[in-house]
Amino acid sequence: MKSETGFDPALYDRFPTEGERPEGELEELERIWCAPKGWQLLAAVNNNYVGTFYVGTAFLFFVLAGILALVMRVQLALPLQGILPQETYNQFFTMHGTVMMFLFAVPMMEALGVLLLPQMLAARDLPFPRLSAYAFWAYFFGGLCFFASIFFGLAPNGGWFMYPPLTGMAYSPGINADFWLLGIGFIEISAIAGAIEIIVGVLRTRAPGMTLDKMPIYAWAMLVFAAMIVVGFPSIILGTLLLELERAFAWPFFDPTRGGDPMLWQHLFWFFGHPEVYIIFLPASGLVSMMVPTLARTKLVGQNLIVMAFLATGFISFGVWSHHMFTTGMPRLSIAFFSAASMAVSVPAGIQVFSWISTFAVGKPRFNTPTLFALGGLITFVIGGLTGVMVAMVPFDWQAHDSYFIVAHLHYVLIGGMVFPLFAALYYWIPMMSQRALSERLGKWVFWLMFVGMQVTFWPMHILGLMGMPRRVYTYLPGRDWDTINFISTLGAFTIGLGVLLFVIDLARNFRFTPDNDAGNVYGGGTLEWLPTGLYSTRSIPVVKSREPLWDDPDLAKNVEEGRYFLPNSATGLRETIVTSPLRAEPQYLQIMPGPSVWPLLAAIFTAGFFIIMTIQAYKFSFACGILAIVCVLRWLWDTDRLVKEETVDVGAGIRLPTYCTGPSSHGWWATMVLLTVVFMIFVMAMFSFVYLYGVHPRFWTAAADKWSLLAILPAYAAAAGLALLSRHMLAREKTEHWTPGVLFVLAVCALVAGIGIDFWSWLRSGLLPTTSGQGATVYGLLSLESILVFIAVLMAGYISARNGRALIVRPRNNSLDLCVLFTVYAALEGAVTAILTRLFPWV
Amino acid sequence: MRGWTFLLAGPIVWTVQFFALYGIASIFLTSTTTRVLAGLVSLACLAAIAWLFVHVRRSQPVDDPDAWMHRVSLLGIGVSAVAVFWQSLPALIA
Ligand code: HEM
Repeated sequence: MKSETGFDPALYDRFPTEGERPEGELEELERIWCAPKGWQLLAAVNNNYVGTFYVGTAFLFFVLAGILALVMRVQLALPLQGILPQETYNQFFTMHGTVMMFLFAVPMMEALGVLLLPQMLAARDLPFPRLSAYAFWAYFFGGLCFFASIFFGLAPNGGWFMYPPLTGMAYSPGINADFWLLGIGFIEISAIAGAIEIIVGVLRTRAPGMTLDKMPIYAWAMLVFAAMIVVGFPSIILGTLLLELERAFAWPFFDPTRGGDPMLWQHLFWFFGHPEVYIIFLPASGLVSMMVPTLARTKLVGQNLIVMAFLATGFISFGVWSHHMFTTGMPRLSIAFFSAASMAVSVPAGIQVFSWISTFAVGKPRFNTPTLFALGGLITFVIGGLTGVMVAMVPFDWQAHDSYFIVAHLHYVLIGGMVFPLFAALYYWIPMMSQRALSERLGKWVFWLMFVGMQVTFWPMHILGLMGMPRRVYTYLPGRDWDTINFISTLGAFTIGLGVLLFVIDLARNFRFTPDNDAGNVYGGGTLEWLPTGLYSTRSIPVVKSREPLWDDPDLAKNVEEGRYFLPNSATGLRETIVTSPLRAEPQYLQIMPGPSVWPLLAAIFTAGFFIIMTIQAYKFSFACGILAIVCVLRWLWDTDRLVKEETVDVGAGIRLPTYCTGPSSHGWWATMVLLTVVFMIFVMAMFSFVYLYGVHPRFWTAAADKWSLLAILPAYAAAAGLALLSRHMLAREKTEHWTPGVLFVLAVCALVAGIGIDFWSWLRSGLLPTTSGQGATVYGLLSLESILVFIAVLMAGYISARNGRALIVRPRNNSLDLCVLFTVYAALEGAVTAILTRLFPWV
Repeated sequence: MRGWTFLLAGPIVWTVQFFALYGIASIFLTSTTTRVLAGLVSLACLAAIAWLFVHVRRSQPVDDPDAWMHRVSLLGIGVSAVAVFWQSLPALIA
């Protein structure tokens, strides 16, 4: 067999090891990985706890948004009802859509990832446990504050896609829209933190021997999901930032009278918004693809095709955003291109559906609750997919646009593609973390109520739409034949509600969280999450030889529990996991992991505070929160990246691995690269905005700032990149003075500051202001993005100096310095491109 | 890295084609220029796919992650060939 890293695969034959393990190893693992008790549980970072809190919170938002939906349905049950006045109805549908999409669907999928992935990959935890904790708490506090706005009548009311000019200052003068922009913008940051964690987790912490072809299909789904978040979410982060800048400071990004354009928002929103639908669907499809083989008691038919379908979806779904804009008067050919892509994207979804159907057909399914939910989801999703192909036909869409047909379509896709699979997954995996499984008998009731309720609620809406009932109306006149259909739909909604209520009762009766004493493998799954586990995950980390190791090696669970595989103990007395190579999962080094800490929690509270308090315009208080958040993050990072005294350790069977790794194969480097991809995508979308506004309103364009200033700006950025790289180079040299790398890095950051400073100064001198025109707004927008990077680099300079002062920047290579250098070099490049683009476009 | 490049090669060609068509149609609107340029881009992309197919077919990995990636890469290239062809149709008929 070939090797990827120089590791000899023949070493795997040493496992399972012979002989008894020494006494006390298991107790030590338990002590090291135990979670804090009582109130201190809030500082826990173990994925079992954080994952469970996360799933619970996402479910809470599902229920809350569901209650809003029920109230809306009561309002619409009969014509001219007076339960929700118009303004409140607007807030309700906006909050329902927003909460379902941003606070339920995406976070729920990330939450399940945090909970399930380490178990499936047999890692001790995800690679950045504190980051998961931060992402969760930020979402928890941010989400609750955001939701609370509805109780004060301050909830956003512009619909879940918040189109300007309706959401601009002229038509939405209150702070309602700001709640949406700051709240959602911020929650997206937490989603990105989760995505980084998932990408690095899937690629670098798989059990040894789990090559890409043996990776569980769910891990594939999560990998593509996280990659799509990294590419898609920056666009909405930028969009919310621009709209907020327009509202707060009158920078006219979306104002056509001053060279902006409302269509720019639609492009930015849907470049995120349509992939979002697949971002929600892919993980659910991953879950179904894991469950179906077990439920049908056979192997998954067409596993390779499904992997290919995931990858294809990841790409094609970024080519369909404009199909939400068919009615906006784009060029006919552009529309045709988007229409073709929209039809093409249904092919990968079809592949997945056919694969599940074949697996069920080949196997011998028992019709238990997860099977029912999986099948019910499949049927519902296919109906939604078919109406999707209908609205991908442009002439049909002109008719159906903004009518109840769309409401029906989107709920069929979302509920069939995500909610039903989610319930299947809850029934299927709850035995992994609860002392008791949920009740089969109640489960069937839950299913039938939800399934029948779903069809009764949403099927009639197709007809309502074709009969002309527009979406987002708070009431309607009698005598249009809409009354009975609406009434039936409301009855259906309450049937779904009853199903969900029964589920909650079932949870209350049977769900008892436990990290070790769980109900176990009720359905007989074959993947690693069904190995016996504690808070440390599995006792030892197995060598993986097939896709369903538990089916193929009946002794695996016993051997794993007796510690006959990798890492049967704690090699360093600290929390640790094995980092493996991305393709062949060969063990590379031992990662030392951080334990419980309150800093991520505090950092999250203050970050949420910063954004939410900014909405109510208490700026001083908000900035104080911002500073405290930064302090907490720095304090949390301070404990990380330390050497342990053993340079290499025995990870089982005499195999030795290093305890510290730097450079491109370290997990920190990977995470930074992913983060930089996010930053880069924000930048790409900002450049798109700049070019787009020129394209639609060239007459607002005036002369750019002095081109000669490039002669000062570019050398400054070049110096920044050069000095940063030099600091890394000097650290490796034996003869270098202790202070040299730190000082060089600080100088590099000074050069960055000089670069952005001159750039700003030269634009201000040119007389173009951000409020002048779309050009001014986008130029200063690009400069602001660069300033944020420079600000972070300044913080890094302080941090690196402090670490250097404490002799924590160790020779010959140090991760903290490496990653800050990487960031600085990127910031210099982005700065240089900004300076060139804004001055030379469109005169080249 | 090489393995990943081929695994994603098919869809990447589709992406390049799609964004090129979007760019062309945004600049030249619904015109003959757009159709001609779109046709040329699509031909180039089909040629790229054909090259990829020949190149990937030629390597014959023996053991598993490589052999598996080889299979999935070929699948991706095959599906992308159809997708690229489909994506070019509007330029001809719309
Ligand atoms: C559980 C049962 C559900 C019911 C009874 C329900 C009902 C409704 C109703 C009445 C509307 C407003 C239609 C209008 O006035 O235009 C709506 C809109 C919407 N719903 Fe649901 N819904 C449910 C579940 C979901 C789920 C699970 C999701 C997403 C995961 C979702 C996402 C949306 C979105 C995005 C909108 C559009 C909001 C807007 O127009 O801005 N819904 N739903």
